Amino acid sequence: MFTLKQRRNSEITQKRVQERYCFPLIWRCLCIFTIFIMGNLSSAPAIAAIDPGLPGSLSVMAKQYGSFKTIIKLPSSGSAQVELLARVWHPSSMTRSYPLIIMLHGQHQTCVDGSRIFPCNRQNTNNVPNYLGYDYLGKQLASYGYIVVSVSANGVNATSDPFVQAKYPGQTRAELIQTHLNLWKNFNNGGDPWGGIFRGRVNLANVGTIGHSRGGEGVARHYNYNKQLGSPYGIKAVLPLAPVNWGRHQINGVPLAVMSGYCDGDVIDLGFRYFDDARYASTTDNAPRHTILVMGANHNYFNTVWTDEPSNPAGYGGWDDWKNNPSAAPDPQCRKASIYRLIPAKQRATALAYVSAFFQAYLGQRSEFLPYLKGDLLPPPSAQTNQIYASYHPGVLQRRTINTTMTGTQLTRNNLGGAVQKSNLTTYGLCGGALQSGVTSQKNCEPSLIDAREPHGWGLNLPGMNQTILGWSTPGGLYYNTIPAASGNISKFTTLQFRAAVNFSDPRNVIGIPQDFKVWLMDSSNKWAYTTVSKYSRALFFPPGNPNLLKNPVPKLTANTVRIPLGAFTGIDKTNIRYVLFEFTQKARGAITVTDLAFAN
Amino acid sequence: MKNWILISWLAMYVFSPLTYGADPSTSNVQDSSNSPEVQIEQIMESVPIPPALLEDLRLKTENSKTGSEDPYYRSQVVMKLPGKIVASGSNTKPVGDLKLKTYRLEEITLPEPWEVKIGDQDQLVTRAWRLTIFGGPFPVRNMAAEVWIDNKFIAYGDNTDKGLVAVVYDSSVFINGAEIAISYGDNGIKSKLPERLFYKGLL
Repeated sequence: MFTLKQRRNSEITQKRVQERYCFPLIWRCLCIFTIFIMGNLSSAPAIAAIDPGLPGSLSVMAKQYGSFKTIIKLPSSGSAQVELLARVWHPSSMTRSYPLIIMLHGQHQTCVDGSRIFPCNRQNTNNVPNYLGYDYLGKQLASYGYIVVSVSANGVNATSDPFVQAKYPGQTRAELIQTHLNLWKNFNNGGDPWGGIFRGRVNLANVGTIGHSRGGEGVARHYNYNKQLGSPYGIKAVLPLAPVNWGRHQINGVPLAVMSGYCDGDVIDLGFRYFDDARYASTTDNAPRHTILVMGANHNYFNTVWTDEPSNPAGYGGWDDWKNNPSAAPDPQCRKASIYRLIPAKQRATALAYVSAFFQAYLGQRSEFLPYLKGDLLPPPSAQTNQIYASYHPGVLQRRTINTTMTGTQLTRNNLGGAVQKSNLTTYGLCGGALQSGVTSQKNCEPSLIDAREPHGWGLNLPGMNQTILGWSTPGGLYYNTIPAASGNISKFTTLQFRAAVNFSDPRNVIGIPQDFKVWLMDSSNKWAYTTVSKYSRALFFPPGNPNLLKNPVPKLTANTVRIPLGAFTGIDKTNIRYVLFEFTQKARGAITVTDLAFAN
Repeated sequence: MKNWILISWLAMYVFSPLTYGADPSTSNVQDSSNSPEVQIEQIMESVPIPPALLEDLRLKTENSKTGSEDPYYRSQVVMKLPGKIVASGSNTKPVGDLKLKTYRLEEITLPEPWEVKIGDQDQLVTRAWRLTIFGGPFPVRNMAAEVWIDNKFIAYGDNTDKGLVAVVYDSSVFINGAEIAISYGDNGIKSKLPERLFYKGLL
């Protein structure tokens, strides 16, 4: 049931949706029909009440502090100079304490002549304002009641390569974030240079960080660095956006979302290992984590300054990272003229929707946005594409893990202690992680041996996550996990979930056709119920891209979460579940990888 | 009824010009003209931070390398010191995606002996070699530009206002007659210079 406030928001959203999308007559008709249905059937599961990608209700203001000439020294930057400079977006009228969001850009040229030096030769006239490239996010989040600070890091960019091999990659960027947080502590105490307008208005116990590209590694490292310093600031949400992960940082204890574009021509491994590495690293970590995979998105268009739009000065070096990647440029899915590629404004619309949803959910406690982040809802209309796949790993209190697929043991015995069995499978083993002895275990899940095509697999000579590979050559293959009696009461959970991907180079899968199979639950009285994956999830799509192009980073084997409501399994006793079974009869043959099987909320 | 809702919603996505029907020829044009906008009241110019506040911001220094041990200091020294040209090309016609033209190899005498890692070994060196590749523009991106001599990686390239510069402390990588190439990322396709490396005598 809707609360009054939710209903009002819903009405506003419906009006905006109508205004925004319904210009052509036919679309108007469809839209009106859909909105009519929304208004009358508010419990429909596929439609959200509120769209996080639309602007909030508050008017906002922008400020800046510091300059490219305001130089600070950071512990790890040696003799290098780093600027103190940031853009601030905040609600125009501040009446309370607001959560703070720090944004950090990544590696890009620092001077308009294309060089990567700092300071530039002609100070303040030829610096590239990389930090202004997220204004579209800053003003939107501010309109919902956040203070948003986008930090300039040109000085770090000019020095970062020597530090890539440092003990903690991203350390200099982490120190820069901490420096700005120290500054905001002063601002909150009335020391801001605008006459004390931020006195008592900054909630430094409720801070979110978002970093793009190398900035993504910066916010990941910063989370652990802040902890090392005794957690002077309460970091409550971390969002690496198309992040690098040279350091394989392990982020536990904080809600995390990694958002990346399938057509990223720069960070071609997508940075999803932040998600993978943290899943089972702590037995007490109740923080949720998400990945948001945006098909058709590249690396640069999340930052307007890095975008090749006519409105951008040529000296900013904006470009399409996919187009200029000779290994990948001709790919039919991701090439610049492909109909599957998102134009810059649409790519940013996906960020507006999901970045907003993430921070509003975890800093603003707006739980109504969680279904987007879990993949339970199609993307909101503001995202302007439905080709977005959200994956979700609940915290320990919100899940009962059945099978992590992490080691060879889990091929025969799951994490609950129940037997794992299979029949009529012609491929059965582990792939992608540390090699396991005594079982079928392979380094790569795909034979192409291109790391970029396996964003969960090996990278920088370190193992990725192990997945169970299941292949069937005739209909009727089975894979089942026994649930011990002590774990059979699943009545407190709402969902059965796992992550899965379709092996694109296995000839048993048909190019371009999604996979599908049946999922059964059986109770202790031998009552069965089943549903098909395709009824609830689009996750088993065939990964697009041309594998025959030399060194092409796509197709990619991305593990996407399938979530099936337990309500789909009717007529069985959910206090005494005995088996979770996959039956491969929907398609004559196929091969998939599976991991993270769990009951969850 | 739920199916109808889903179908109608999907239909909007699948057929909507806002989703897949984009005309590729206009793919760089913003289409935000009909988007609802955030109400912006004011955008102010930057203000300076009081010096006293800057003092307060200093983070505790830990493991900070200084002087000649600081890798950034070293890179700046090697970039700025005058060098003796030991090899150079003369091509002026841009080639390939990166519009590569030519190269210059200089020998740098260091101000003091530096301990550097060559292969897996720490060694004292008194000279460095600065290879500048002309052409471009060379995009600055997350993936660093990698410089190759005869298919052997020698160093990351640094974007400077002169060109892409690679600094090497081991002259043995410069094989006479070798091919010079650049790639972005280990898996990237190599862009080759139109001229090979030639020098007289020994390095």
